[in-house]
Amino acid sequence: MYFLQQYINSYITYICLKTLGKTKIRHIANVLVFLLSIDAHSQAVYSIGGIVLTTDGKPIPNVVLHIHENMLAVQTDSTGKFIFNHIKPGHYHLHAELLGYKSYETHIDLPELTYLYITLYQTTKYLDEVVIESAPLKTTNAQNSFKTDKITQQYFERNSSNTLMNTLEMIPGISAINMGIGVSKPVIRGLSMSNIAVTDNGIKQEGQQWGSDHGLEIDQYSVDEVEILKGPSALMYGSDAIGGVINIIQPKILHSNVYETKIMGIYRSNNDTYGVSAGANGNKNGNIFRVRLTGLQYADYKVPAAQFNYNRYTLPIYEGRLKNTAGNEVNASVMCGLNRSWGYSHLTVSNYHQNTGIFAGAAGIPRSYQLTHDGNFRDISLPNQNVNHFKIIINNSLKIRHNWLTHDAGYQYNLRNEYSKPEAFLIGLHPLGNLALNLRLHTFTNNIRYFININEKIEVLTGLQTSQQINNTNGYEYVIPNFLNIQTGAYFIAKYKPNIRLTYNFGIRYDAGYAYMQAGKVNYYDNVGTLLNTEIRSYAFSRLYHNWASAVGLSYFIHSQVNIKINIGKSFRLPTPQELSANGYHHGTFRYEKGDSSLSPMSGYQADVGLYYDNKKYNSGFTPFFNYFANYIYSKATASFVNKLDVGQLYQFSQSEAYFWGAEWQNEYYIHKHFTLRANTDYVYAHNLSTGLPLPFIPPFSVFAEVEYSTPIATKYLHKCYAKYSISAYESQQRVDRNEKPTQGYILMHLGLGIYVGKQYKDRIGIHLQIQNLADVLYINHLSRYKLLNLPEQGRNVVFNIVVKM
Amino acid sequence: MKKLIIISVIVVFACGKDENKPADTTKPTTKLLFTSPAYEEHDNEYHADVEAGNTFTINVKISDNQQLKQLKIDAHHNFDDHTHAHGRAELTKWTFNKIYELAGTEQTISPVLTIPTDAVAGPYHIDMHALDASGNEADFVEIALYISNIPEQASVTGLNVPAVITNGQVITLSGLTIADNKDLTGGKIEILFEDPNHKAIADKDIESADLKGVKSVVVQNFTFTVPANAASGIYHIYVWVKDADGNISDAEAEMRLN
Repeated sequence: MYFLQQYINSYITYICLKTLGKTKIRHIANVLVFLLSIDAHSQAVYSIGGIVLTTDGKPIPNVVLHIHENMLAVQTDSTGKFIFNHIKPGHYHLHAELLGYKSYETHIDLPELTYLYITLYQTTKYLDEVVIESAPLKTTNAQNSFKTDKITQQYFERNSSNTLMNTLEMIPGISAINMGIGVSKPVIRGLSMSNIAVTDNGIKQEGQQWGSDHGLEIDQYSVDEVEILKGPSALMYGSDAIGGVINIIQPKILHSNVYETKIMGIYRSNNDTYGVSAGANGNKNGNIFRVRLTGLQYADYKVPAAQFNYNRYTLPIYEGRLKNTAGNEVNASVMCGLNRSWGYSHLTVSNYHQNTGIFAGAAGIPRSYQLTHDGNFRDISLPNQNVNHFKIIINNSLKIRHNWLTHDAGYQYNLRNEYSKPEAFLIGLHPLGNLALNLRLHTFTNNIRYFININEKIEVLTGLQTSQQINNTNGYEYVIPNFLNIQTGAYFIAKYKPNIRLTYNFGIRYDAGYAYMQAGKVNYYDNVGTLLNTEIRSYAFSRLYHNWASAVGLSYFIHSQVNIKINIGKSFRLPTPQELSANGYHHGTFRYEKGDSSLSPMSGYQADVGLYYDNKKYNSGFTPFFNYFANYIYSKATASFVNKLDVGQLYQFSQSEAYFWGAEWQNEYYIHKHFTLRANTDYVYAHNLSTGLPLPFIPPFSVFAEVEYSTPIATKYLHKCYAKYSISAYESQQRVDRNEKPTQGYILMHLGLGIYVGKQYKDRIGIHLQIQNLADVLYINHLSRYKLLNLPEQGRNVVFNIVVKM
Repeated sequence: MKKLIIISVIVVFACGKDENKPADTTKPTTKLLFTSPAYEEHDNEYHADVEAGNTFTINVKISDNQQLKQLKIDAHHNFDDHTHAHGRAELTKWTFNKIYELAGTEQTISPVLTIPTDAVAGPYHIDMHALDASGNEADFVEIALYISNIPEQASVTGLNVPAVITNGQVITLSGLTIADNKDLTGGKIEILFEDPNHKAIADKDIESADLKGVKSVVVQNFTFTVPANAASGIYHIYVWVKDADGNISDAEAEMRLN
């Protein structure tokens, strides 16, 4: 670990100084570059030039071309021409993209090919055949056996909701577990928490993701593009990706000598959110930088109700606002790096900080006296949580002969403080005051991948992934212990493309892990703070694990417009520290949960099929899946109480034989050049074979329909105006686990309007207005942490975003 | 292909197994039959009063469609309730926590809870939770129990305020008397001037140090100033007293600002 810190330190100095361009340092830097670049001895360089034309032979200006492996980017001039200079011999992927045209991708082998004639086809569909950055071999969906959903910047601008996950919720198969506003975490096909991985710039986000009241610590306004992989993805992303991955990918590369500043203003009416997110990025001869700063502040949110019912009581909601659900966020990130012909090296440092209140009635049984108005809708009183997530990420790509080696390294520090009155839990006066939980998690991650292009038909990739975690805890509650967790995985992924219609994917992975848990203790004090006794909640132990995963898949074009994808695999996940050694009441989840140190790795067989149809006007995807787990880990209701004051039923982490099946069906129909119709549906059925009951937290069947009107150019300065209306209908969820509350069905309507102001291709100002929950419908979200209290969800919300680019 | 077969077999097997195992998801029910001293039911809540040093008897019936497992009776203070949203009262003195093992489909439990003589007076909750053998949890039943102590509460007399006040006016309290039949040692007196939303504008406390060995307190020339920008409405002077035994008493007087 010391080595890694040294490494990170030297990198920060190196890259920052390199970007600043200090000559003295440049000598040292060159030596470093030399040391890094094993290929430095081959001095012969070439150029890749070409021309981009329309189908009728006219040159297209402003097309951005980039080389994937070293992130070099250029733009076509007014004659449609482009040139990349100083390119070393090797194998490259080149992409050409311009809004309104179908994206183009090709492979290049230097020195064999040096001039390109590229024809771009016009399209009204803006998501056509985009390159999947997070796919193992960086190709389009057509060449992968699994489909990746790509969410673009445009989608984020037009659909931004309370959190990143709330924005992504509209995608079929994706849901979010919420706790009020500002705290949400991903659910993919009914799997959540430790079964889902979120990666940022290639590094898996490590917070305390086991808690349903712990949100995803990512600034949604710093996210440009997201790629979502539904289904098992553990091969490349590690064991936690058993249910899928949400990849937050590096923003698009700006071509050389371009600078861009973007300021976004955010207003949401429901909880009076005011926010600003300002960013700048630039590229000077391959020296790139990017900065972003976001600040958000919001008040208690409004629900369309004046009271709620809990057990036999009717409790008040003062002015329809849930007391103490206000919060704020301050996030910053700085990135700098080099894009060169030998590859690239980027350093990103970011910090996320959120402080958010927890509904005043959510600490134990809600009492009406807790819910009286305190005179302020913006204050944050007890209980509340204060989360800080700091990250340093280094992304390197390096050419070794004709192949590429990528290396992602990350250090993360997740600090979580949860405050609540100890009196509310009858613990007595505690020297730590109101600090219920203090969790400090340090994670070091390393991913190394080596891509080998054997020939046009076969590409392989081998990778090594390691992570080390140290967790320290404090606070008057005990949920998880101090621990050390080490994991290493090695994998091999291959793609074989015998012909243009058929692609096979194959992968295998082996993981080993070591976990050491310290004993967990809780201290009890009397009224004057004298220590009465110490209770051991969990004993120290260490465990060694190992397991393997593998997958095979194919993608076959039955017809040029009909594609079938099939994947079958075995996957596994290692038990988390909470599952192994929890033993306490967590006010965040309202439950007393107990771990089991003898849990074995959760393993399962997973299969999915994708049927895709795509023509100029209509595209559709039907994706059924089936997951079987021999020992699915979850928190099970037991038939015993915990013998402690004011603590209820014991929930025990246990393993069950379980299966999930379901499907998504996604349709997009371009009725007319201005009208688009979208209709999606998703369903998950989860069954626990050991109890004969459904599994908890399974999203209900839902249908989403949207009609969008958009016009490319209205006048010289006003363009790309759009208006859309959508309906999302959720069926009631009666398939619940023991003691889980069923929820009723509901229908929500949303409206979106927007326009861009500025010259074409410049879009200087974008104005976006959304009205979410237009009819102010009263409903209970099945995946809400507040469902336990029968609390309704957010009412009508007018979201206004203005984006100014300079 | 082999895996596909394995999975198909699992699907068929899994779906078949599904039907043979109907799980019991019916919650047990908990019904409060009677208490001694007897409870009163209002606003959907059970209320009962008891004096410290006496017993409180509960008679509760638990039933389930299949098999009962446990009843948990949990008693603890709810002091935040009565301190006029200031929550300054001391912590619990009396608690009760017991798990009763149950069997069969219907059972009646009659615990006799003894309230110790030194129990701090105030509001308490008695919660009754039940589980069946499958882990289904009953809706809990709660009794709001008010424990009073002997000797009884302090008396508050002589709270005289003007009926109508004006902006900037100085309200003087004189002759306000707080007297306890035993002692105010360790207790506390709070005098609050509150706006129409019961939010304190000013707060004057007489701390425990000044109450040591004192049986009665007479307040002379305590003043509160009506803020110059105060909005019209009903304002209050609120007096809150806790005596040596933790008995809480209060008094309130209204003033109108036009």
